[in-house]
Amino acid sequence: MLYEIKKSWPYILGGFLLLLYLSLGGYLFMTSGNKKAPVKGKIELTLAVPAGLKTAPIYRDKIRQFEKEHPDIKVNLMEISGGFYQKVLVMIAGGVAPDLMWMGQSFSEFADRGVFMDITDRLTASDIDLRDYESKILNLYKIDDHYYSLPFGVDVSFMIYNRKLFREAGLPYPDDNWDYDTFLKDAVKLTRKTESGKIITYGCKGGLPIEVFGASIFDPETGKVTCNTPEMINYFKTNLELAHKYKITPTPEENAALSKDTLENFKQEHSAIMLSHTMRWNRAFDLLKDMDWAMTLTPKVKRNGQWASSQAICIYRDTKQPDAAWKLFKSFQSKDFQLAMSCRTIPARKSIAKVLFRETENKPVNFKVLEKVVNVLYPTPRVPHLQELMAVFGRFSGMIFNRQISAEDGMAQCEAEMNRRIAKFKENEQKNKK
Amino acid sequence: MQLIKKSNIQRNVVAWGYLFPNLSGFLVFTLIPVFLAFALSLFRWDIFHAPVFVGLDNFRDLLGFSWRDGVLAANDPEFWQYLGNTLFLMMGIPLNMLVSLLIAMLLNRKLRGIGFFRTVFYLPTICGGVGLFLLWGFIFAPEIGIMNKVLEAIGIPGPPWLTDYYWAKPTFILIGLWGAMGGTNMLLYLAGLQSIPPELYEAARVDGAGKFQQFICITVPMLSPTSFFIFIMGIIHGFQGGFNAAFVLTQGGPAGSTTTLSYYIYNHAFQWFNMGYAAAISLVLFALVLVITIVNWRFGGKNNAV
Repeated sequence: MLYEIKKSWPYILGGFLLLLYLSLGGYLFMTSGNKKAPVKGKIELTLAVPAGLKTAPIYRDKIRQFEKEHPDIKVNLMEISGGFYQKVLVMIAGGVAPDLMWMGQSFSEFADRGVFMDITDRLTASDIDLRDYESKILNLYKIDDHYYSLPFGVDVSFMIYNRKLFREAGLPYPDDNWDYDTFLKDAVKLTRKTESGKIITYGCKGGLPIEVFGASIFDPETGKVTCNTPEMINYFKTNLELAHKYKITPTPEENAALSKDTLENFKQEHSAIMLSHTMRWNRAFDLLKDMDWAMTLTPKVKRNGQWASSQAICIYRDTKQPDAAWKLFKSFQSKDFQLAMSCRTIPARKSIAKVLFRETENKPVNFKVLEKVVNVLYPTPRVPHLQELMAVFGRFSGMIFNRQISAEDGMAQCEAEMNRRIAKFKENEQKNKK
Repeated sequence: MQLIKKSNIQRNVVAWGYLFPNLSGFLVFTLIPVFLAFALSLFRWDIFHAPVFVGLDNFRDLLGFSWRDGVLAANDPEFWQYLGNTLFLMMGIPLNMLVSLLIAMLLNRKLRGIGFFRTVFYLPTICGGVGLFLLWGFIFAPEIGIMNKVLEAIGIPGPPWLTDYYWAKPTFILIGLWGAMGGTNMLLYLAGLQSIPPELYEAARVDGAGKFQQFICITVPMLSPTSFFIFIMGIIHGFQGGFNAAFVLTQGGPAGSTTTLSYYIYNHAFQWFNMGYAAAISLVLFALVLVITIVNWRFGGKNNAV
C-alpha cells in the first residue's frame, strides 16, 4: 500500500498543481478589469502624483480637507515613485487612467495627444482670476487658445553663493544686477587651487544658462527651432571658455554627472557660486542652514533671464466624473495648498507668491530676489514632441561640450536634424488624418 | 491495453501539471508579445490614438538612406551610432571569457575553504543591478570617486570616467567585466574543467608538457564547447544589454556615447511614445542576434554545442 502511494505521489501532485493553476487562472480571468468595490453612495476619483517625502503629506492633507468639504466624493491618492510619466502612460494605454494627474515638463507630450480635458469653458464660468497668474507660465497650458490646466507652482533657477568665501577673497557680495564681467572677475578670484594646480574650489559650478545669453532652443511665440543663432553659439563658447580657458567651472557634462552632489559640494566649499533650482531649495534650506549663504540672480550676459518650468494637475479627458474632478482641480489653486507646496515651487498665483516672499524668516539671505526672478522667466515652450527634440539638442550640446564638434557646426547640424524631425512629425500627422 | 492508456493519461497530466506554470508565463509574457511586436512594427502608434498601418515605413525610416543636401545620409543616424556603441561594448566579451576561465581555474584547485571563494566570486551575479550601478557611479565619480583617489595617490591623474565621450564606453566594459567574470560564465567553465579527464593531464606530464602547454593543448580545446556556448550567450546578451548601466549611470550620455540599442528602444517607446518604431528596432535587433547566432553555429563550431 505504502509502495503504491509512494509510486503515485508525482501523479497526485501533478494533477493537484494543474487543478490549482487552472483555478487560479480562471479566477484571475474572471476578476480582471474589476476595480476595487466603489464606496457606497460616493463618487470616486483617482489622483496620480509623484511620490515625494515632502509633498506626499501635503497632497494627503489637501485630499482630507477636500473630502471633508465634499462628503459625496472619495479621492484615491496614487503616489507613484520613479518613472511617473511612464507609469501614467501605461495606465492610460491599459484603460485605467487616473481621473486627475500631476504634470510637469512632459505636459505637452500628453496634451498634444489629446489626453487632457479642455477646461476653457469651465474656467470662463468659474471665479478663478487668470490675471493673478504669471502669463508666461499660464500660456504653457494653452494650446490653440484652449486651456488644459492651470499651474499651481512655478519652478525657477537662481544663483546661490557662499558669503564667507566672498569675504575671504575680499570681494563685495554680488549685486542682483551683476553682469558677466563682474561674475568672471569674481569667479576667477574665488577659484582656489593647491600648489600642484589641482582645483579645490571652483569659482562657479554649473556654468551659465542659455537664458542669460538671450538664446532659446525654440521661439517662444512660434515654437520654431532657433538653436542656430549667434546667441546660442555664444552660450556654448562662453561656457567652454569658463571651463577650459579660465578653469573656473567644471564642464557642463561633468556637472550633469555630479548634479546629485552639487549642494553637498557647495557645502564643502568645492564651489563658491552655484546655479540652483526651486525643486531643490527645500533641501538647500536644510543642508545649508548653518552656512553663510545667499541667493541672487544669474549674472546678465545679454539680458537677465532665468529658466522656468511649472507643475500642474490635469484632468483626464475621458474621466467619468468631470464635475467632481473639476472641483478637486480647483482646490489645488487654493492659497493653503500653493503655500504648502512652496517647499518645492513658487506659488503660481502672484497674490499667493507675494505672501511667500513676505515671509523671509528661516529663509536664506536675499530670498526676496525671487520676486525679481519671476519677472525674467524664460520657460521652455511646450512644443509638440518636446522630449524627443530636447534629446536631439542634448546629444549635440554634449558633443560640443566634449569638444568633438565646433559650436557652429554642432548647432547647424542640430537645427537641421530638429527641423527634419518636425517635418516628419507633421508628415505623420497628415497621414494620420487621411 | 487499457492499463497502458491509463498510464499515458496519467503521465500527460503530470507533465502538463509541471509544465503549465512555465508555459503559461512564456506564452503570456514572451511568445504573444513577440508576435505582437512583429505586428506593431508595421504600425505607427503613440498609445493615445488608434494604431495607423504604415507598412514598412518604420523599417525604411530606421535602416534607409536618402539624399540630403547632395549627400547620402542615413534616415536615422542615431540608430547606426547606437548600434556602433552596442558592438563596441561587446568587445568586452572575450575579456570576460578569459578572466572567467582564469578564475575558474583558480577555483578548480582542491584547497581548504574553496567553497567560500566560489561563493564570493559568484556574489556579483545575485546582487541587485541598480544598487551595484549606483555604487559604480560613486566609484567612478570624477572628483569624489575612490578610483580617482587611488590613482591620485600613485600620481596618476584620473580621467572623467563616465562623463567623457571617449572614456564612458571603456568604463562600461570594466563594470561589465566585474559583474560577468565571477558569475555564470565562471560556473560553466568550472563545470567544464571538472569534466576534463585527469588522465589527459597525466599523459601530457609524462610526455614532458609544461603547465602552459597543458593549458593550450588540453584545457582550451576540451573547453571549446563551453567557450562556444558562453560566446554565443555573450553575443545575445551583448546585443540586448547596456540598458541598466546607461539608465542608472549616464542616461545614455555623454552625447549618446553609452546609448545602446536597448536604451534607444526604451527612449522611443516610453519617452517619445513611438511604439511602432520601437518595435521595428526590436525586430532589427532580433534579426541581428539571429543572423549572428546562425553564422556562429554554421561556421564557428556546430560540433561544439554543449
